[in-house]
Amino acid sequence: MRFAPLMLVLVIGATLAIAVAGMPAFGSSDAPAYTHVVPRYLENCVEETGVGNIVTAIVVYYRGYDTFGEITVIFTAGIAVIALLGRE
Amino acid sequence: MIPAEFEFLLRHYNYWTSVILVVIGLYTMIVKKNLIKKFMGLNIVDTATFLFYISMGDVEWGVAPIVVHGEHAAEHAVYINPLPSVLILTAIVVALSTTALALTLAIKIYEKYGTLNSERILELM
Amino acid sequence: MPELFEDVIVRTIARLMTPFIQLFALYVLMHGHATPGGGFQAGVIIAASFILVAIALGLEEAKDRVKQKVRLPMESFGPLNFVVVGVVCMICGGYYLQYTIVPLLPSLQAVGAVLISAVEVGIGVTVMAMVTTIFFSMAGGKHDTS
Repeated sequence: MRFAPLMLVLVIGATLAIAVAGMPAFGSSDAPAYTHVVPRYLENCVEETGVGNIVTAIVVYYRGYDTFGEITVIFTAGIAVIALLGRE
Repeated sequence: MIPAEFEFLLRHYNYWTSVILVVIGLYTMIVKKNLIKKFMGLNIVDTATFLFYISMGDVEWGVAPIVVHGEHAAEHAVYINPLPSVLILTAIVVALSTTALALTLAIKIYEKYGTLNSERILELM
Repeated sequence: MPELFEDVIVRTIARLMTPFIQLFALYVLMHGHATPGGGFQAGVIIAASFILVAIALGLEEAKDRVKQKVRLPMESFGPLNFVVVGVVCMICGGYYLQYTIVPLLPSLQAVGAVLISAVEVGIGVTVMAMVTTIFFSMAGGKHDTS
């Protein structure tokens, strides 16, 4: 009974492991994710936004519209909880 | 001296950890009948995804991506990749929202059927 | 809600720690542009302090500290603040959320830092109010769970 889910999950895990073997090594500085758009953020961030924390600058400035959607997500989740359970 | 195959395993150990966590979470979601345990499996899969992204952004000897001016400024500092941190900040908020909504629905299901066993709920429906 | 945890050590420590947790959250919020932190983290820390009060001192005490009529406007403050800042940027001739276009202060960097902090404060307020409300709704004890 439990055998089929275990096999399914192990097949998924093996697929993920094969896919992950092609990733760059842990901590490598020449990974593709680090060499394309990130140097631009790291160099121009302070001049363009005036904020030293680059994560905050990307969250609120470069990806501001994304953060607007994010705050709408948590707002909508709260509204849904209130609608289902009622205010305390 | 470490053999080459073993060194290959060592250099990807963060990814293997994520894969193991995904497998554990998926198995929990499929096999367990209790809805709360299913949500726990969902959260384990979420956490595996966060770990995968955050460890992908790490750089050896890198520091947190905060630019400091003045005398405390680090000369030629290597910053880690800030983009995965930003994406995972979004993902954490979405995971929080989905968990809150799922637990709310579990409360309503328990009020209606008196059980959280998914097979029992299917019988009662 | 289960029975209160009637232990003098737990109650005293919870009552003592709460202001410091909230002070730390304000630090995380206001230094989000120079140290690790930001609106989401600060909001969740403040909400955690209220959840600590609710667990250690009782739900009524926590509801007394952050009342519903205070939380009600705070919940919708964040998205509204975001929209207002974005539209102000558009009125000043830039794109939506292009903070540095606003002619508020002489230097471009100062304007960016001030407006980014303003948006972060809005985010923190909304996250704090929403997480607290979700917890209070779930722990409300109004549901028939028998």
